[in-house]
Amino acid sequence: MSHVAAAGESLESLVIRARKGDRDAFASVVERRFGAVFRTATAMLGNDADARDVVQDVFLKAWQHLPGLRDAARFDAWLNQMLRNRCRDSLRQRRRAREIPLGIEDPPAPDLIGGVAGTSDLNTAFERLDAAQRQILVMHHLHSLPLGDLARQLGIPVGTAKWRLFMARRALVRALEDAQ
Amino acid sequence: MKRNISNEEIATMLRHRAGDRDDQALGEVLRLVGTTPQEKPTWAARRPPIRALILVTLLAIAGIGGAVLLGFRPKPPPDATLLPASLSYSDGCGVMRLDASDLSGPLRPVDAMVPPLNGGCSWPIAYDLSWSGDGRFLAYSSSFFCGGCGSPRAQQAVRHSGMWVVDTDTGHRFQFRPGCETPVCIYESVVISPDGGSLAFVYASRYWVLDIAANRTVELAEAPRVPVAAAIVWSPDSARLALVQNDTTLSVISADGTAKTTVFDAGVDRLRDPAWSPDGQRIIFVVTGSSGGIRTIRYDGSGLSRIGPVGGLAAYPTWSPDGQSVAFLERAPDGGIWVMSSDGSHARELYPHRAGASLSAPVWAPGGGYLAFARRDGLYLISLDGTSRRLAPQLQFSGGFPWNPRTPAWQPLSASGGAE
Repeated sequence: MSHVAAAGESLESLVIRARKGDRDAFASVVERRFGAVFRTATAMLGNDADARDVVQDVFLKAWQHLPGLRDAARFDAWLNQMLRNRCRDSLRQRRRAREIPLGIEDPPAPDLIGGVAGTSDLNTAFERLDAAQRQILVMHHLHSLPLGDLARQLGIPVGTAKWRLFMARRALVRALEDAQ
Repeated sequence: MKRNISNEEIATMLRHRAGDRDDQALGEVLRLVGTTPQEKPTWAARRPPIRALILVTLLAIAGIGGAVLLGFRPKPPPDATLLPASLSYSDGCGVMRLDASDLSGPLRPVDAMVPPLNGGCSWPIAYDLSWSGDGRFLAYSSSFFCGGCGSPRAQQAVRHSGMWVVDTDTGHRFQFRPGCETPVCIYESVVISPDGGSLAFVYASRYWVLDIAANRTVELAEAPRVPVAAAIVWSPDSARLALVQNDTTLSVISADGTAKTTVFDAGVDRLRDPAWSPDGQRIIFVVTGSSGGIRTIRYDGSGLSRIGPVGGLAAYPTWSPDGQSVAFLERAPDGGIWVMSSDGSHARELYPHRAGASLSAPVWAPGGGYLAFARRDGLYLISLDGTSRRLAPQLQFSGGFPWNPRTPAWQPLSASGGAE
């Protein structure tokens, strides 16, 4: 049976209650995290139709598998890992879909930058990155997460986060140089 | 070719990739969670959307039927007396304006207030349109991403980024980029004060007010890291602002930043979408979560009340110009635009959900007889008897990318302002 959350209840406390099957607590968790997760997914995938599907799947899986999360304090890292994996699947599906020889030209993907600006080298370069590289760039540069928070959200040491961020930026620069 | 990329370039590119806040997607997740068991996946759990959506649809039908039985009766439409007004919106070709002085007939395009650069329908992209109370000044924000930023065309768009104020009396346009030390700076939740003298906005995770005449900024408070629409709103007399902090707290602060009062704390739930009543005495807002809903409160923190039949899935409540009615959006897969009396009675769904429509916040026409809103395929107008029509279609850019008309904003036309 659910009960109304106390004022100022922490995310960890909500996750613990949700883990026991409290739907209201999980709804509060979704409310708190949805905006950032949706924005991350749309930035990673580049279109909101795919992002809607991905985010819906991620939160549904989170709800279904939450009883298996042992450490509630690692919820963000767990959620972001699911998001990364689901985005990776979505990108693979998109690539596979484009490989099908239909004999007709694929319609152009809805690409905000390409459509709006017309000069989208950096966006094109970003499209060449893998899901993990996209995610860490989005979390650091779009959500302005400092390295400590970034590491916590991804469930990795700070030094690893710093290294991965460096590598993702380097991959972006190289992709941009290739594009030009 | 060796290439350096600045943090600002990456952030701007990602911001353009990141989608608009999608409240109906959030509502969809909450509904599906409400109908999905928390067990090990079965064939049903692995394929929740279809089964869940069928169940949601059945529940919604039952819910609407129950609401009717419980006495929610449609309120007869009020006399749709109209004030002269024009309706402006951003459509990717700049800021367009329609003559809306007679909403019963076809609307006449007036002008492109902010024409596209270089004659192409690509940029500038204008966000956050708002008008001063006398309809003279239009404010908007513009940001632009370019890969290399090397071409003259791209340089022109980069120079356009920032906050803008257009004086419709003189035709002059003024650009503001306070605190900006990079080619592109991102200003969000930009809104002009009703007296036309100041801009409120979010920049670098802080709320600010800019005195337009003096070009001087005052920092107000910390802002949410992920800015939400309508996170900061002016009181009708331009003396104070209501703003959301930490996603949970509603505060009222004087326009000079000197006096701040915490009006309401939602605790564990999120608080969003504040709006002032026309008389400036009350603020309406939404508390999300299972115990949430639309609430109103006096700006001094007294007189809290909950109104309306929709709970924490309500969004963007807004008072009609006479303060007698409230319109809002229901964030749900089957949610539409609702109208009710300001005490929460006589609630009715004015514009039902259309699959995949992804409706925007409704905005009242100055006379109170109509609402404008954007959906995926265009800009719409709806009268209080439920009759709707599309005013502006969706555009297709050359690359096939569809661009919705967005951020509709009504321009009241008084003695000083006016469309030609």
